[in-house]
Amino acid sequence: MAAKKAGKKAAGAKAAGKKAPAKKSAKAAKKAGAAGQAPSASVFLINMIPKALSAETNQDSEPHLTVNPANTRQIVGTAFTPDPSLGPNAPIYVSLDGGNTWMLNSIVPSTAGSISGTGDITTSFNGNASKLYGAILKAGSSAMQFLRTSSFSTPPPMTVLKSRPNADQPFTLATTIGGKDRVYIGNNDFAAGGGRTATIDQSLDGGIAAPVFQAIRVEKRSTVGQDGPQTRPTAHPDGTVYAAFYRWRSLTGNFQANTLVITSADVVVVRDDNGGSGATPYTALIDTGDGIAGKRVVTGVSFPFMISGAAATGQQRIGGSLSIAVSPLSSSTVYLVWGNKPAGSTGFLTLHVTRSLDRGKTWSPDLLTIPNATNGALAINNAGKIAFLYQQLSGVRWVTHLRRSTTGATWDDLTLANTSATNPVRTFNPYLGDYCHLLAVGKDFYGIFSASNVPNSANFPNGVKYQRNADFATQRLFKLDGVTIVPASIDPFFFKITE
Amino acid sequence: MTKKTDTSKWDAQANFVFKGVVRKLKASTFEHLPAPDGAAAVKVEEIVKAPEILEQYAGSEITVLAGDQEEIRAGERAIFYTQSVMVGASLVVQSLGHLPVTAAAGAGAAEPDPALREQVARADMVVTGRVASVRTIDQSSTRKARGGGGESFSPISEHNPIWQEAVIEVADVEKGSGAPKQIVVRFPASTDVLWSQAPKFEPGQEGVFLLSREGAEPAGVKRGRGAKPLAQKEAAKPHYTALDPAAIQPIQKVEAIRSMIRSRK
Repeated sequence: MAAKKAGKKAAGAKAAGKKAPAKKSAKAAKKAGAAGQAPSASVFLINMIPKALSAETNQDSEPHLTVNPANTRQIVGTAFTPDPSLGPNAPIYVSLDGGNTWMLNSIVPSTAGSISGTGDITTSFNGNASKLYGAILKAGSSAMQFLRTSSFSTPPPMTVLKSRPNADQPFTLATTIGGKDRVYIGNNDFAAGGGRTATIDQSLDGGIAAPVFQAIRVEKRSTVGQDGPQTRPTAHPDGTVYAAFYRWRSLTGNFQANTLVITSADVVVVRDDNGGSGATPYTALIDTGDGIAGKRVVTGVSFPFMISGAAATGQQRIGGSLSIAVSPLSSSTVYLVWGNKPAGSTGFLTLHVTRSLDRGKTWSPDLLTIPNATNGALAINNAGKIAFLYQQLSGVRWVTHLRRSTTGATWDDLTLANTSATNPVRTFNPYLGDYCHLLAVGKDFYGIFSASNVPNSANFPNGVKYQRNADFATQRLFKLDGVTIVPASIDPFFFKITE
Repeated sequence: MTKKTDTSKWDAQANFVFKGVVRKLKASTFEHLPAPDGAAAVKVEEIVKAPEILEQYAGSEITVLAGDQEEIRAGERAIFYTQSVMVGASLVVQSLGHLPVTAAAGAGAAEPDPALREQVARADMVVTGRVASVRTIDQSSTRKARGGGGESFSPISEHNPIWQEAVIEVADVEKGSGAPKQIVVRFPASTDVLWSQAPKFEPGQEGVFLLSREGAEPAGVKRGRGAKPLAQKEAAKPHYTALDPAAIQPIQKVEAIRSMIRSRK
């Protein structure tokens, strides 16, 4: 009842560009009886669609984010967003004021007319944003391309550093150590021999005119014919690099008929202690069970690998979920979230958060277990505080949670968004995305997720700002004329948690 | 005699065409964007062609980046053929070319539907007809459980296209050689982000089909257990695909398309 009253009050004002500052949102949350919120946290959440694009109805799913470590006012986001004029380059989202306002800059190689702008895309700043690196599956050709620009907020298109076909889900991580950019791009490379497809493409001097990328096959064991699409790297300033992936061991069913199940997979973590350099990179962590590089954190897990989402999965296709984060305080401390469908469970995927304190040799029991969820993402700040972002299906609602803990034992629970899983109807797969993203810069957390954009205050218990024309009183979106109604769609949302 | 400038190429590529006046050279309308030599602040006086989402910039000053070899003069009034690059509080566009207004008056009327004209020009075969049937051909994602029997493994990716074949009963061949009664068109049935835009064929569908010729087999097509192998002669024939959203046009457009084909001969 209190929640309804607070929602009505909040909806009483036209909310175009309305900001919900932290203090107010904490008060509103209290009034709404939102138990479990952390009153000291400052939560800033914004719908990233610029006001100029108020008429857009694209399915802007599968978001990713990078923040300039040296200047957190500079932020780049990506999603399946087309060029507003369906031109030859796809846009990135750019903010130069800490996420308070956003614009689109079409600099990603694409193909004219693409309604998603690009296939898979992730980006990462180097240590001071003098370079933005990216990796995509290019619209039109599906080729995996590695990209770079020295000027992310101006028009010239990104330079293609490397291009090759037949790979999947490139996941970019860049850092600067000793004045050199180290670029790690996890991907699933079907060109790899022997079904050992989990790969890290890396350049240890990505900033030079013609950087060389080396494809490191991190899978050392036999597989059913391939690994899963997710190969996720994380790096520490001391040169430690971890990566996590699914090793597929057996499967059954028919992908085309949407009945494929990975019946047995291992979650594997590899480690390199020298930034990936050396003769045998990513072999520092040996599994004592079989003496092979790559610790099998869990073995024999099972989950569906869907070609298309269904009503039971909130229109979202499910295919596992992986994220790994190393603590800035100690490269021996690393957190991992992985997904499976436990035997006998009725949900589609359960997320498990686990931790190692000894450089990946041993792993804790579950610190958190989240049923019916996907798109898990982890980050650790410079105080060692862990944050965990995920999207959980609750009835016909997608609830986007951010959980935080200082020890891993007790966690708070911020609901960033509680949005419809049925409105809008899906345009393509994936509905929300095969991932979302979370990172820490200093003590603060920054993240991005995609969700239904219906402007309803009750959907955003910690407040939200819309740049696009939105009336929270009538829960409608409008074109710039303020009169023509715009149907609901999927939008990317940026958030910052000030610790 | 004044030489007319052929703007057809600009027109086909430009997504934002407008009449405007150059207010200032070496200027930018985005606060953070430095103004390189080739940038100019231009007031949009009249929109000639634009997607709805850019119509809001009518009457505004925007930033125009000159193309290679293009010279923009202060105070010049011209028709600008551009592509949008940055969208936000203001707009930045890349110019493909511009025509002073007086010259534009003699340039001739803009061609209707230049994008469709380009599509027709690129097509190897244009036919009218009806989709008689659709069949699945890609068995690469049908996998047995491990140990189930010696099938070779083809990669499984959420981006697999899931190739299908549409058999079109041809009414007329508008462009292309031969007089086939049927044409087989391969298309991706996947609704993944990489393939969702490609047209999906359905039995009974009628229209004008703009097709591209492919080699003997598109990449990635596997004929799995149970699928009949193609006869050698059939396998050697070129196949057609239709990956562009404009590849299927309503039958009502056939006369316009015929006119486009004739005008290129």
